[in-house]
Amino acid sequence: MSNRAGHRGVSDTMRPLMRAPTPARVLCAIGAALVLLGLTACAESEAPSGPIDVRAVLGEVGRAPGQFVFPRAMTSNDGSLLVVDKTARIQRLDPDTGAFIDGLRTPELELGKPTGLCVAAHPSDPSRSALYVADTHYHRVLVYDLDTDFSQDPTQPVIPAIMFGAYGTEPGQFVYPTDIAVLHDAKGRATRLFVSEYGGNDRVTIFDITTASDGTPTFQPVSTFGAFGIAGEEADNQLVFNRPQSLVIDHERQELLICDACNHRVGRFTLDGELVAWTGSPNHISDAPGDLSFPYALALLEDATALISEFGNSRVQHMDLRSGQSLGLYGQPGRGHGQLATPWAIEVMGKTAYVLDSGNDRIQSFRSPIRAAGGDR
Amino acid sequence: MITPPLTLGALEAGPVQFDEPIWLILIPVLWLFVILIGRKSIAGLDRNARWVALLVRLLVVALVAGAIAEPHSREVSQTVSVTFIVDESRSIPNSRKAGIDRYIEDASQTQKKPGDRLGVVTAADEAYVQALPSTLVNQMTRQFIGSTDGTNLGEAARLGLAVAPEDAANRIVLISDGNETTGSLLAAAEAAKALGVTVDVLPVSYDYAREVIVESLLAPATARGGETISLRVVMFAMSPAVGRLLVTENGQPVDLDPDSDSLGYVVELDKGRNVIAVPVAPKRPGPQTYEAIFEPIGGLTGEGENRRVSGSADTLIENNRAMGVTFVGAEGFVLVVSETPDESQPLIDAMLESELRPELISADRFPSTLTELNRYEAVVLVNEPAYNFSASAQDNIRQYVHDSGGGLVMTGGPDSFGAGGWIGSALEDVLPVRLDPPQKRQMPRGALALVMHSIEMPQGVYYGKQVARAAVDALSRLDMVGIIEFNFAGGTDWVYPISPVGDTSSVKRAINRLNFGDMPSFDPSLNMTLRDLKATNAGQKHVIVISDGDPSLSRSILSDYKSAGISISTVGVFPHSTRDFNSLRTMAEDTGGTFYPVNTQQALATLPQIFIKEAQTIKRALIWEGDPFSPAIANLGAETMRGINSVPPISGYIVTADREGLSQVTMRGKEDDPISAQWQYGLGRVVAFTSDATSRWGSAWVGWDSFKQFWEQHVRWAMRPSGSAMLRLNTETRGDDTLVVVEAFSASGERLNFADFKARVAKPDGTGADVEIKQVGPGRYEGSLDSSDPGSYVVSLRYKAPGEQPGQIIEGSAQAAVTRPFADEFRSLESNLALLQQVAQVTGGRVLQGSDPVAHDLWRRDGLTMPVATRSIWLLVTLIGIGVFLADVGVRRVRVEPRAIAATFRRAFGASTSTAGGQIDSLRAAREKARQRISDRTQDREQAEQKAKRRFELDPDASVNTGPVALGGEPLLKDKPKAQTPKKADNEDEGLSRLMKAKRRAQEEFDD
Repeated sequence: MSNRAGHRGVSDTMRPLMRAPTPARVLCAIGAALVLLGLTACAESEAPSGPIDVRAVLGEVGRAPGQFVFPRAMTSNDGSLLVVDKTARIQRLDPDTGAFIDGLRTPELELGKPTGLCVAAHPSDPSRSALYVADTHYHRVLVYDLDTDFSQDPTQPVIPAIMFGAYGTEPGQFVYPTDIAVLHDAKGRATRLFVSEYGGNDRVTIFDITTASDGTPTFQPVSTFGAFGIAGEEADNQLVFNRPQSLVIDHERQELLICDACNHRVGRFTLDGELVAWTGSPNHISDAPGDLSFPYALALLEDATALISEFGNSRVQHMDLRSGQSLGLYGQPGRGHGQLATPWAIEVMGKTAYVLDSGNDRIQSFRSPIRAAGGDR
Repeated sequence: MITPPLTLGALEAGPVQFDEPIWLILIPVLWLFVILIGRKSIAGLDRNARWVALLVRLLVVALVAGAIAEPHSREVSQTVSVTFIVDESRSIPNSRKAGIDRYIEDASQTQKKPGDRLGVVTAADEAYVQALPSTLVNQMTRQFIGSTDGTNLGEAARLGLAVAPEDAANRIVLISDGNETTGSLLAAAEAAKALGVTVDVLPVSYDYAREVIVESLLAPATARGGETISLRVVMFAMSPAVGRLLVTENGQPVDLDPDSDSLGYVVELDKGRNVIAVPVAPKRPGPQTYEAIFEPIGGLTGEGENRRVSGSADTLIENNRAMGVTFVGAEGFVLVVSETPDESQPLIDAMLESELRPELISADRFPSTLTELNRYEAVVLVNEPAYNFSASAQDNIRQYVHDSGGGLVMTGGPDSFGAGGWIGSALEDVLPVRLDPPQKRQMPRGALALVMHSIEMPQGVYYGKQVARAAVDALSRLDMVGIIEFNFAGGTDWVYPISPVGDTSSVKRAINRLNFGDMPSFDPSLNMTLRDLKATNAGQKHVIVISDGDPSLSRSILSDYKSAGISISTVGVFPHSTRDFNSLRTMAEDTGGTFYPVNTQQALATLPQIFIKEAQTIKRALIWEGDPFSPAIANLGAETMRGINSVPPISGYIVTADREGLSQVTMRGKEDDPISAQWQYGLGRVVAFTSDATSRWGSAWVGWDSFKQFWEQHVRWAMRPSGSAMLRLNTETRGDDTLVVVEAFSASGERLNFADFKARVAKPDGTGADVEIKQVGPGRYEGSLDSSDPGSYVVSLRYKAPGEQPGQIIEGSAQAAVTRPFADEFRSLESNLALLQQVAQVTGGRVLQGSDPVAHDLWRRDGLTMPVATRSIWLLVTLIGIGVFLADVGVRRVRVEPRAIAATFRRAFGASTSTAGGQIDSLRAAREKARQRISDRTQDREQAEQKAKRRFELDPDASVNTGPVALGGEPLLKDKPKAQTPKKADNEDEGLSRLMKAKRRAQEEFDD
């Protein structure tokens, strides 16, 4: 079978030329090249947001280890990526090759699969790392031990030693938890846990983490902030969310960053839930630089700017969350190399960014404009 | 692409391939020209420069000619992809499946090389891809394999070919018993051969030493009421066995042995084929479905008196059943379908008074098979909407009329005809009126918007598209429809903006493009829908939302819908939690729509009906209601209107239009709309009455004197005629055909000759076919039909024959049924090795022996043609040619002098490596040299200016001035003449002589 790959991806304007006899094509190319040589001297082009300059593509569609079925959340730990997909498998992958390292499956999956992952200190032992999972459709938080719970069979359901939460709207209960963020103290202990949720109970709950002498952790809800609402329609001084999809803590600046996805904005909050500022607005949801369309996740960079994955625009935007200024665009909608389809998550390790290209069942990595912020485990 | 008139085969030259190598002939030809031209044009260069320039020109020519010859880079793949097709049908013993899984995993671990791929396709009733060929797949995985009651190996093989990667050599490994119940594996093997894909087969062998199969139940095609018929049960036993034979009639057990407590016979079966006769007396008229069931007791050993029960008799109980159908003559049965018995009662009473036998049911009890439907001679649908009938039920009605000769009467009401969603249904063509009236009669049109969210279930996209099509089909041409969804490439947007349905082709193309994106929020789609529906000029506006209820919803928008008078109906499909239905329920309740929860597979089947029902919300425009008027009689001569000269007034009806063809309109309403029409459709007859038979629109009709006469005449006209002749129908199976034998007798018992039969067969796939019946003897007629597909065939005959009295015509009809057993998964008692061997032979594959994957070496390269990926590089070659051409210009016009560059470097960086005195000396020397150079250049320029002033004056130093110019350092030509004041030519001869001399000198240098 011969693959005439050279004829693929030809734009409509080029098709008449490609159908012409080769001598004509060659002559046209010679002429065009000469014209271009002349034009390039006096023209300066302004490139729109195009495909990402991809370093590596990790994963593909499927259910084998290293493959994904619509992956929806991603985090990193100690030089590896952790990804959960619609098979409820959480896989740990090599960030350079995408090779499967180990994994597990959440205990139940019939009602739905997790949409949020966070790696932080283990609540019982700060020397160990734990994976906090927002088990969205089971209205609970799962806490896995990254050292002991993972195995070579990612389809093996694992019941974690620590899990909490139940359906409800009372403090400590969840409708659909979307993501988790964990605050560390100076000694690296997990002291506070934030859980965002949607489903009409769109809010963020703050839990204090305390550990008994035998190492048993307790997650005590201390406050909640926010309620479901459409930005612009809320009452004065009312804080509303419409699907707060992901959370990130800026340890350096002691801020909580929230992607308020369906209000098309990203918020900066104090660690007690006081609003500092919003970036983006439901009144500006175009694909213009600076506008956001369903921002689903963000990755904080060391200069306090962020890479934001936009589900609605199928791109990644580098933004200054203080000025609201767009600093760069990465990717465009599509199925091809460097293109994105409804990206759910973004992660940065060192100088490499990883975007979870959910609609294309893969991860694409590229050079991050700024290094990742420190402080993440 | 325009192909040059002269072509050669592709020419391979290492990693490059020329598709049109004939153009390479240009290379030597053009080289010759270049050399000839170059002897003169670059004669002024020094020796090295000339050679470089010449070589560059030759290279440019070669590159351009090479580009014209369509060059492609070649990359030979080193990858082998193996796709396993695993037979998952029930004929494969469960005990073998673990071994198959292990075999695939072992093969992957031991034989698959890095870069090689593995894929898995399962074969059962339908084929499904379990894993696309990938380097990451290393074992058997099962996701959704569908029903395992059949085997379609052909479809699986084609699917395996479809997923075969183009950039790898492909091999299919078929693991199966080779017993296919549908499709053609051999045809797929031919396709594989054409694509160069080899198919290795790994037979799954088994046989059953103790097995009993009920092969068939032979029932007479027809019988008379009260007659006892003889069923013949054909059973095959691999070894002597004993068991109990049970027979059911229409699902109810038949007591075969009244003297015993049990219902069935105890039968002893010899090895081989056994036929057991079972007499039964049908209890009711119509088609009788019989089923024979064998319940094994044990195996038999010994002979005669020593015979005893020992061990098991049977291995598979799934093949212990067979069915057959007999028609028992029936007259006057009419099925009336209505959801409102009270309103239908006058019609029922009228039929009873007319000695018909009406049976009133609601649509949910409508017969599920054509055979059951054929019990009735006519079906009357009283104000029934289409969504009350499944697609198969609608098909059955159509086939019942067209191929079985049954009658259909559809009466009006607000839920019938076009307003009942019958537009686009299987019955649309059956009715004698057009349901989608032309523009001039159409009332204000409706507008429907479909909001499509992802359907997270197996085949969700398929179902989503099906329901969207169903909704669109139920609309009329002038109605408006729009479809909106979330798309990763454009966010929430119209897939089909609100616009007229037209012939549905463009909206169906849009439906095919739907990708059912995961919509995070309902708000953008509901906002866009509201905005565009408001701007639409339509009477009824309605929205249907299908979703799992997951997206967020702003309640404030619902009040906007309510104030705009636009309703939203919501269909919740397989939610994460039933709590997700809350937002969908609210959406419907707040806007006056309906909420439909769908969270079972059973409910899933109702989805199209839901959409049709919802789509008809905007079809109220087809209802005419107003001041009562009496419809005009349009055809007094019609049999149905015999003796009826006028009818009472009606106050409403469904607007329809005349249908072209043989339709006969008997009553008309406003603007000549048909009120009553009739025609023959295939073998059957159909009556449409677009007003209603109840007090809603026809209150005066119920008390009308001729009410009974009107309906009796209409129903009897449509009914299948029974006739006065007596027919005896028999069927015989002959290979793939069935012979229909008719013996006809008159009422007095004489053989009936010269009868004209019109016969059709309704096939199990829903199609029908004519059957030609010819007279072969006195009173004996025969015809043949193709019955190769498994299932039930219903043969319907209508006849006309000369009666015993002069001028008398005898008319009537008869029916018979033929049951062809299904190619059941369990009819095969051993693997079909011959087919598997044939497949391997056709494709050049192997029949794998044993189960050692190492010995099989499934990823071996032998026998495979490694694919070559070619990439067109003509543009690259052309650009290189252009680049080299520019370099050629540079070689001739710009020259880099290494010594000059070195000197420049010395001057620039010499300070650090020399003494101060040396530096000053160097600077002085350089300054002196620069002065000299400037002086030379000034003199050269003056000479050039003077020459330029002397037009047409020949200069013996012309070649010097056109030579290359050095970037620095010394002038290029060693023998550059010193600057001198040009002498003015005394005459032309002297000038020519100098020119010739200069040329000769240049020529000599070039030749050197």
